[in-house]
Amino acid sequence: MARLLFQTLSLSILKNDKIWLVHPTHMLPYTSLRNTSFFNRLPAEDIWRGVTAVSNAGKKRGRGKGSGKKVAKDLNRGQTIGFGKKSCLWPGLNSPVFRGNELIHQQKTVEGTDREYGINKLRDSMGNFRLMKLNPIDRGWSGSKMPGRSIGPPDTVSEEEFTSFDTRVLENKIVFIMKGNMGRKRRYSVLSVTGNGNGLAGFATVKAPEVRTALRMSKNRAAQKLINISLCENRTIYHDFFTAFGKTKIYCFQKPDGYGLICHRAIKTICKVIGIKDLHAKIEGSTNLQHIVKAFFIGLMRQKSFQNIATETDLNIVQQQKSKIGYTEVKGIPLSKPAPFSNIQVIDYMHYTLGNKIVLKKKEVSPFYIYTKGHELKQIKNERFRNQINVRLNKLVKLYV
Amino acid sequence: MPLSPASGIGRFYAKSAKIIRFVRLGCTNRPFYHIVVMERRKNQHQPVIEQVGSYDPLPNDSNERLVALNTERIRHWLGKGAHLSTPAAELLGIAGLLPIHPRTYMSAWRNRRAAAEAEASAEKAESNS
Amino acid sequence: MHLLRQLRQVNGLRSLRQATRQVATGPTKPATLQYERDPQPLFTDAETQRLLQSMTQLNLDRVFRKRTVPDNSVETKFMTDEQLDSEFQQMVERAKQRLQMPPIVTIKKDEERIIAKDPALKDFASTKYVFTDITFGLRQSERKVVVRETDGTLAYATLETTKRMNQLYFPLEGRQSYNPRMFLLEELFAKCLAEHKYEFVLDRLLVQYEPHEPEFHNISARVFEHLNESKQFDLLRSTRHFGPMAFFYAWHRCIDDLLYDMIRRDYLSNAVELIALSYKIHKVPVEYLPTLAQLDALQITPAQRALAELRSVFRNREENQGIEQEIHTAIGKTEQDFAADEVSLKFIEQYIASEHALKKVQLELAVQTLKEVNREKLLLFQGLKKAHGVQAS
Repeated sequence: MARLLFQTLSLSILKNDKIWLVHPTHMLPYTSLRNTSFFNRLPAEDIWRGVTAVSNAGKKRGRGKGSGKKVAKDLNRGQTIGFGKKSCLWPGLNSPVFRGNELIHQQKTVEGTDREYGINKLRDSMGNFRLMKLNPIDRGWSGSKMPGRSIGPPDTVSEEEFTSFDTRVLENKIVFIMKGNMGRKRRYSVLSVTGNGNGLAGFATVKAPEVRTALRMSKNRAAQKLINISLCENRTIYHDFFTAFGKTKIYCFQKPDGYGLICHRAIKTICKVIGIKDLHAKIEGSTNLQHIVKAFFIGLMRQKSFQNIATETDLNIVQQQKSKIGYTEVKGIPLSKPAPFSNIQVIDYMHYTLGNKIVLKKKEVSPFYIYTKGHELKQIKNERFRNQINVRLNKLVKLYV
Repeated sequence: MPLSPASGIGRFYAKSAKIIRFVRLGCTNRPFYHIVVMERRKNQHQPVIEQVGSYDPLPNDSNERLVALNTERIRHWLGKGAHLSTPAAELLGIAGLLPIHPRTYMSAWRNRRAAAEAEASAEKAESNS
Repeated sequence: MHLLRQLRQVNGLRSLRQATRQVATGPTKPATLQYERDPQPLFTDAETQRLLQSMTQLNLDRVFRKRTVPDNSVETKFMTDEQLDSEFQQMVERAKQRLQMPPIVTIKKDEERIIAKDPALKDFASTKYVFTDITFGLRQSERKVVVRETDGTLAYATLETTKRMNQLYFPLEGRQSYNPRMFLLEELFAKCLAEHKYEFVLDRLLVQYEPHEPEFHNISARVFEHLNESKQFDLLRSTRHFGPMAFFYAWHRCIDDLLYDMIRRDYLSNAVELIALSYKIHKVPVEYLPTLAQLDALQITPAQRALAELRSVFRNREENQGIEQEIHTAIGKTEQDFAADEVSLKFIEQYIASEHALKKVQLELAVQTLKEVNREKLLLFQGLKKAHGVQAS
């Protein structure tokens, strides 16, 4: 409240001529003239109220009644349009209008139907509530909000073009800081990630007083912080990994072709920008967006190639695909042959890659109704229809054969 | 746990009378029978000791009535002195596992007689017309 | 609800379908070539099996190729060298198991086996009864199915009924209780063949029919005949159907196209084995055993070759893998291979010269081309060896 008062005061200082004139150094060479005052800005009713009205408290006490009551005068009485203080001839108002030698009488012209329609349309277009129309493809995570939306490739930097890059906003929020002379200063913070869909990506957080500026700046800064992330088979991560930043813990799992991205929406967006197509991720702890992004990028950068793991552990790495029934593919072989009779302890690959961590599996809570009598009766009733769908399907198939 | 499984959860006394009998399943106008071993005194929809076969009394597409019999278990229970309900005994007789039940001969004979009578009456009607 | 709607729609189309069903009277049209006597003793013979297995070859990538499965997850493991080696051996064993050939047996005929006749039972019921023994743990072939006819006769069921009952009470995964349309309608079957989906057809055939059924013989014969015309033999190599195919051609004296394909692809020992098989089936008085023995001494079996290939990952680690090895990998042949080629070429030429070969000109041309290529390779091989100062062993 105090802040608002201060602002209005400072404004009035700027505008009020009298106060200006106090300072002799700033004397203006002319006397300023103001053509507006509340006499010509407010309607007569409002101005009269200033004189005649009684406050609520006054009304309660019975003021504004009886003999001393001020009454508004109708100043329009006795006046005729066209005749005033200065006597003047107004053609069409208090004197006739001629076209050539002909006196013009009042008469109807041809009606234009378009006029009303045009006006209505104009009024509709000024509607009180405007919907943000957005192509479903361009939509972000939620409605027309910025997070999840694409803001195009970063701007060209000295002939370095970022074609094939795409930038996605991850976070767009208002932040305040306290300034000595301005008080709460509002700015917009934007976190965005940019990448070429082929293993090159970067992210940046930028604050700016305007949303548009913040978006542009974060996009361009992300382009300056590109990180190269090598992809396994051009579609997924090399191995499962655990990564954390602050209280955010992420478990990422390598998945087969066609699995898709089953993870937090921010991770999904980052993966799309990087070019990862199959991944499962589970977040434990805080879901702070900044932390998720940082943790995920750290995890990606800390990946090791199969060959590195093999060299580190002195063990062969093999892959068995269920779609190639029983086939064992050798992925990494230690460079040096292990010494004979060396007692190598074979560790579990997943334990190794996840750093001996496992995802917390929450106990499944069964719905409240499964121990009720009604549910039991329903199950008994449905028991006899358990194979009905298959029988009908077979019937259908047999008709075709 | 909705229904008792066919593999049998029926409790039984060692010396109680057992019976091999039908249990009517299926629904209205579409009978289907399980051939089961259970305590004689129990009602058909109580849990069974063991299911030993099935019987579909409605002919299928190729005009056959299908019966499945776990002969090994049936012989086991018969050896243990299990009783047989008449329909079950008839079915096992037709299957060749037991001697033919007298009622099967009776129904065969009655069917033949009915057919002969129908034929005779048809002939009579023809000669009259 | 949706299903019901579909059912109603289909009912509308029913009359139309019945019309088409009448056109296709039986499972596809009969093949021209049939086994006139029982091929089973010759096929299951150990020597024949060995020849057929050798001809099939064993390409692990082909045997374990990517298939569509509900769960296509990947398992990654750590393994020591010993574990990896035993895994390789198991893999080759598994591959051999997957390449097991379906048997070729003669068509089984229905025979009437009456258990009891009881005229007093006549008309005891309006329909016949089919009894299936569902005793636990029996094999399909051991399961008894008996039928009580309405005239009171108790007899073992026909093969068709037995199969139907087995499928009803003990369903086999993938087998349908009806004839698949693919085998029923000639135009669909012809389409499969025209698209060269031989392996698919044969795999489904194997699931749907037993080897002793006439449909199995008829359809497999038609596939092999079509294959002989389209000459896409490589599609069946390293599958379980290659052996029966080669046996079929050898039996019906039409091995020349397959032989030409083998020579062109430089599978000379396979060509020798094919000729030997045909000699064996038709009892041609030519001594093929010494040649086969010579080849066996010079070459290893496909399984051994596959295992050696797998084990080569260990060899890559040892840096001094030997210049001789390098030359072998560059040329693709070893000294033994060149020697084996010589032996087999001699045998093949002998066959081409004999009256058994039908497409002499074509085969001769292929042999000549191969000889020239081989000679060049040999020259290069010897030159490289000399240049690197490797002693000829």
